[in-house]
Amino acid sequence: MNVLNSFALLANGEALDWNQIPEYSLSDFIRNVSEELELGARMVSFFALPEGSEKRLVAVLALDSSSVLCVSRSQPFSGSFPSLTPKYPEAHLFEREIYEQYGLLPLGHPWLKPVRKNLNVIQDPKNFFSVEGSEIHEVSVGPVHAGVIEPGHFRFQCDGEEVLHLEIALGYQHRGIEEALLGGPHRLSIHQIETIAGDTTVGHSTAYAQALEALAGVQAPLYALWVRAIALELERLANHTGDLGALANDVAFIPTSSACGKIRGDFLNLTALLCGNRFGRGMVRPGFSPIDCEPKRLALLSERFEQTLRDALQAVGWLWDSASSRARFEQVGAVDTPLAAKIGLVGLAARSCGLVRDVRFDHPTGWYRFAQVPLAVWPDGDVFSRAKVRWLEMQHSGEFLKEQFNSQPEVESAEKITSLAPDKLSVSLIEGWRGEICHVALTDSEGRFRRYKITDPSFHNWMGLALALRNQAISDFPICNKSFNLSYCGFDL
Amino acid sequence: MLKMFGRSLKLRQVSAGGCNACEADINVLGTIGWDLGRFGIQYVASPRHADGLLVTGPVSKNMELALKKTYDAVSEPKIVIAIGACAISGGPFANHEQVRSGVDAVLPVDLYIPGCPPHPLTILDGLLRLLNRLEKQT
Repeated sequence: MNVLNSFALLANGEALDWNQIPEYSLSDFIRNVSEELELGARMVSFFALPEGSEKRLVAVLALDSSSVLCVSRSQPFSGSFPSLTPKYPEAHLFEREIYEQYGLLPLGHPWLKPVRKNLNVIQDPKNFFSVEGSEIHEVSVGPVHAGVIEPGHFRFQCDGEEVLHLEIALGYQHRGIEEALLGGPHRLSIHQIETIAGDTTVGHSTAYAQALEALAGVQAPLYALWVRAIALELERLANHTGDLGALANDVAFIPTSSACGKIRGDFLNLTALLCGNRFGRGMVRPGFSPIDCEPKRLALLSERFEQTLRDALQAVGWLWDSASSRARFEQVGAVDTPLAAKIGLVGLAARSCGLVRDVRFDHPTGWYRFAQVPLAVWPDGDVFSRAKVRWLEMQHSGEFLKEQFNSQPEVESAEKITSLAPDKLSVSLIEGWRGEICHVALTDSEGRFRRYKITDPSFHNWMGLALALRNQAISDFPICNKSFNLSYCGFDL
Repeated sequence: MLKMFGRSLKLRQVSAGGCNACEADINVLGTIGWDLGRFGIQYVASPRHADGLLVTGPVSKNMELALKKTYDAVSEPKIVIAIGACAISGGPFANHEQVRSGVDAVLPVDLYIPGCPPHPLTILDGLLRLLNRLEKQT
């Protein structure tokens, strides 16, 4: 039997009737999902939802090479389910989350800890993996760190300077976003979406808009899609510039660090020129574009962008010209390609391990159906590679934006979305600057959110950082951490 | 007290459920474009070196203890500055059971700086106003 028959297929940004999604007994469901993963599908989302007094599992997988997403669901059940994690480690955190959110026990899960809610259990020293031996010492960092950054807890098991194991415990930023969306969309929903991860405001709000448009059966006007693409690439440029500056700072290469700190702000100011907010709040709304970029403003945007991009490329160029900085990045914090695929890395972290994985390329929606950004891939998986992919993406996004400024579509009138279709499920993927953002929305019989599942790229990628530290000097943690620069609040929700 | 801090104010930042936008625009004041140091204000790594806290986020319950401990580690006299809509009232997360809906539910606040996030200029204006160091308009 073709396994794919056991899934409903859809493209990114589409919706399906809930009852069109094939439903299988728990054991068949798990078997189908494993078979599909075995054939090379990638786990995009895996979550539970209540069904009467029981619960049900839903899996969303991606077949990247054929630009198809597939969805399946189990029959309602209670108690436990066989864990996919031992064979498919990319499922590990999804299963921990299912256990924490709905109490379904993944039998055979090797490291079943809560994810973000039950902090007393998460941060109890007893619940960390520990290495034994007279030479072993443990370094515990956070939740409050030395810099102006978000909170998280890191525990290193070290033999001298060498890190044998790093375990990362998060949850400190948990604000209850998924719960708050239930019964929505509410008036506050869009503002909560915009603050899932503040540095990815455009990414998450675009994923939300796309999910809602699919549920409402509305096609956003071309103009809105154009604005979203411009905003998304500006967000990418601002963050990549900031990250390369931060990496330079961590190897004490101050020229790039100083300049990039400022230039990052210049990119943010371009976002503010479009919508009035440096982080893109108010930029994206479901169904229409609240932004009207009239010719005068577009000309100013385009002119200031060219200057900012030149500054950014020059400042990062200094870093590449510095052999001692390059040498500090090489062969540090490497994750090899098979391991990256196994743990399900996404986004620039995946592309830095040689994986060809980019939603804009694999599952294009919106403006990316008409205009393509070249993919940036580098094979080595180390800090150098992650810096290099950022550098390539800055150039690609820069060229892309310069072209798009000349391709502004006509303003069309469009309506705000007022109601969503009942009993539908939509899947919306967006390539944010860190990687794949996934929103899965399911409506009830009244067209209100029955479940809204958010997966920030950091959810997939924190494990990558933990593994990158294996057998590295603990003093290399800062550059490894900056090279991933993952979101705490995007993970904690 | 503020007179005492007037020429050298060291602040420790704590994100307590902040989305990283307020944090980013606090950070940016330290860069060459703003050069906060010229006003005698500096972000420091340890609460032991600080004269006060800059708090962002609605104060997630999961950060409440860490925030209180950080506050306790700052020596007296000390100030608390709440930055951004979340830190002021909980912002879009107000009344969620997972948060305390603002810093003043947990610590005494001396200055509120509004915005989502506040523009760096707004933050700078707030800090200088608190220190009574805004230059008089002529």
